Amino acid sequence: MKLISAHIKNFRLLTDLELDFSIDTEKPLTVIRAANETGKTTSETALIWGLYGSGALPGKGKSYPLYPSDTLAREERRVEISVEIEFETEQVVPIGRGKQTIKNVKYRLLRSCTEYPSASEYVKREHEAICLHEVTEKGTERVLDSNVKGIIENSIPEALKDVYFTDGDSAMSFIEAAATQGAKRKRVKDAIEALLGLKVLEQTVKHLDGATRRFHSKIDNKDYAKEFEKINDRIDGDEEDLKEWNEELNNAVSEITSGAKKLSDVDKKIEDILKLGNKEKLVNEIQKIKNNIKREQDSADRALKELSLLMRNPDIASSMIMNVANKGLTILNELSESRQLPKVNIPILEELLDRTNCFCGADLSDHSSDGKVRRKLIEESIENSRSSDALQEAATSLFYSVRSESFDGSVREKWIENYSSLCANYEERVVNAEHLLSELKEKEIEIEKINDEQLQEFKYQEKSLKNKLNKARIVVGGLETKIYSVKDSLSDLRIEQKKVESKLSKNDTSTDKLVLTRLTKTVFENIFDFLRKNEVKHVSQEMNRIFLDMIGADPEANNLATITKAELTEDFDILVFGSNGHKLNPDQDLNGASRRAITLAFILALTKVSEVKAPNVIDTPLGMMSGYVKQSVLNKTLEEGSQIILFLTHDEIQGVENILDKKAGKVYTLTNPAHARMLVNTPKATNIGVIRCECNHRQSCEVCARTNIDEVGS
Amino acid sequence: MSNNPFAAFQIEMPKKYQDSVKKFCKTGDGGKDKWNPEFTPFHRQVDFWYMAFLIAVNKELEPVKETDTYNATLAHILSSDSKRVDFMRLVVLGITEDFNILANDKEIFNYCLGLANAGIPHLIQILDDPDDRPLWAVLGELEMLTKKCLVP
Repeated sequence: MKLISAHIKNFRLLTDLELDFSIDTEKPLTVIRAANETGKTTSETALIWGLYGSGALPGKGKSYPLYPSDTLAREERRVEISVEIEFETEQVVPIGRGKQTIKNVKYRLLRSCTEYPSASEYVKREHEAICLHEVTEKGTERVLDSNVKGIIENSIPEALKDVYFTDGDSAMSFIEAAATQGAKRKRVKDAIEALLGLKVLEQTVKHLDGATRRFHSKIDNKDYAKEFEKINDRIDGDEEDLKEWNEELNNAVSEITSGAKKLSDVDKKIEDILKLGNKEKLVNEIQKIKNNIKREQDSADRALKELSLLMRNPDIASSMIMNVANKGLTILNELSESRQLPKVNIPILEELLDRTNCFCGADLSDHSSDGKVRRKLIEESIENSRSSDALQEAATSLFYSVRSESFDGSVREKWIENYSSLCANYEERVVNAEHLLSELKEKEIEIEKINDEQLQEFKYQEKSLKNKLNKARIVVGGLETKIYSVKDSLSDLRIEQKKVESKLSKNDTSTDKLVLTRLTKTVFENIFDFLRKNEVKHVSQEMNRIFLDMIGADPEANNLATITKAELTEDFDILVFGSNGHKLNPDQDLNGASRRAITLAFILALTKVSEVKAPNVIDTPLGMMSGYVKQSVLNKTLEEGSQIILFLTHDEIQGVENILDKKAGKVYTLTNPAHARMLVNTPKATNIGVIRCECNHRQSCEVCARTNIDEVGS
Repeated sequence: MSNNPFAAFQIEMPKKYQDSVKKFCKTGDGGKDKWNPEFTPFHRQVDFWYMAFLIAVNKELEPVKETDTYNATLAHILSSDSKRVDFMRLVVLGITEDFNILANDKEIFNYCLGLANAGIPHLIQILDDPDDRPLWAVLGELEMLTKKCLVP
């Protein structure tokens, strides 16, 4: 997974901040230069919230307000908070029956919520919603809500958030002197457990404990009148939101319609310029490729629809019910063979009543007494036959409908043939479309190389309109999710309203459930223990390798090396050994730089073992370091990670500028206007809110120039 | 279109599965955006219901009685796919081995409702496969389930 960009709005210090990250494999480093109190940790927290929601915030976010602090002073009633993240991730995509391919899929994620600023210790946060769009050549396609969590988990699992989003200072807590041995062990243990997803197992055990407690729950004694009033207030608030968001949705939909029109106009202008510039051949080629792409994609869509219709095909039904259907058919065949089908009496008896003589010659006239007796007997027989005839009729109709059906392997084979041919068709279309898209990209590059100012201006407009359209689509998606969620919340509130009215209470004392929870708990605990021990060993080896490289120790080549080995024990202690195996205490015998290096080595080892390719977002990783170790730690971090995003202070940058020159694909600076005394120029901003400028690690401008960098960065 | 003795009955499904069922049907929530059969493989709720019924028959599940249900659609719609009605009657005859049941359409239909109730959670589990998109997951499973029937 690689982060491409993020747009953070009204998230604490970050009122409107756009971050973009390098996805260049040659220059995988992004450096965000920022002094202390300039939103480094907040940016990281915003990314975490964007991906995982309030549950991942400190204290589950209950007393962690997200709204900017000045909104409280300005007495704003409510604040809309949002984080939009664009990322790309490798994904296994199906292209047919049992066939899959690995593709880089680009997504835009939008998480939003509403907060109501207040002086209360607890935060009132409502309508937290997430929506995810896949960004394709065709535009954006909304991902089913039920799949969103899975996609994020596959890209960067929540259990590993502390490993991939780290803070140089808090990372030190794995070894810091201030913590007790027990506390340090717990932190290391937690990180390892998170790495393996063991937290899920642990949570399951806790959940089982909770279930046990609930069995003993007692009737609560709430003040229902007060509760009822609260619910009514919330219903009013939700209805207000619903109205407002519906209006916003209508506006956004109109924006998409007008944006699409503008885009088509710009595309036409580009085409015209290219034709004027004697590039008609290129235009025709591009048009031809675009038509072919559309044709292939439409065919792929049609193939998918046909594949979904396969489930309605009677052949699959015959194959699924084969055994039971054959039993039913045998019963019907036996009845037919014993000449019980068709066996219907009423029509024959009715025919007799229309005659004056029976088939045997007996009198059936209704004028003679014998005839009358016989007619009466026939009428009684008709009545008695009605139910048995209905049954015979039903059986007969079924028999004639299904007697020629095959319930054997041949229908399955027919279905499988059909399935295979549709899959092959779909696969061919998908592969063709992919080839054509690559061709189109090549042609687009050719256009970008054309030295025509007006053309490039329209290309820029096209790109920006496409971007705006995608964003508007995401806004629509976000609003639809919020509307869906508020409707859901309203319906829940109304149910709650009824419940409170009737003051229901529940209890459950099932002993079977208690026994089951205890047994399950034991199973989970055993698995948990086994996995943990194995993984600790693996992490220990990786940590040792990375750490020794970082500090430039080579115990095999140099007998005088002061540090020879680092180890993670089964008891979750991080140990460092000196010459002759002498044990060193990391928080006493190591200098600041080595201490930071061992913690970073530990974190990088965890990411390595997890085999998850994801960005390492690290806040102040190079604090307390200088010289060789500082450079070596940075180089090693770049070597071990796939995308490195570092928040660095001005001080941290000193001494590693050359590495940044070579390896940083993106460098920019954040400035907090509240730091007026530390800035050369008086900030123009009136609200709090971090400002971004494009100055790299060697530049400064009127926004970011600082009066005393040494003082600020330390 | 075949004669449908169940036409006047309602296809009812357990309320607890309502959201999941709609999620995977084009005519339910699954079709609110542009329809993508990979994620919403069923056109209508009746198609979902019939597939749940087939899975229950295939897996030899016992019918399940549900009281808290919702009306998904009228069984009249079953006639739009040939053979569905006949297969339902044949299946109930095959399972119960009771020839007399053929005269009681309501009893046959209720039996099928019970079978579909048993099959629905199995079908949802297949569709919710975290490693595959719903359409491919269900087609793959059908291939496997039908293969199993061929084993003597």
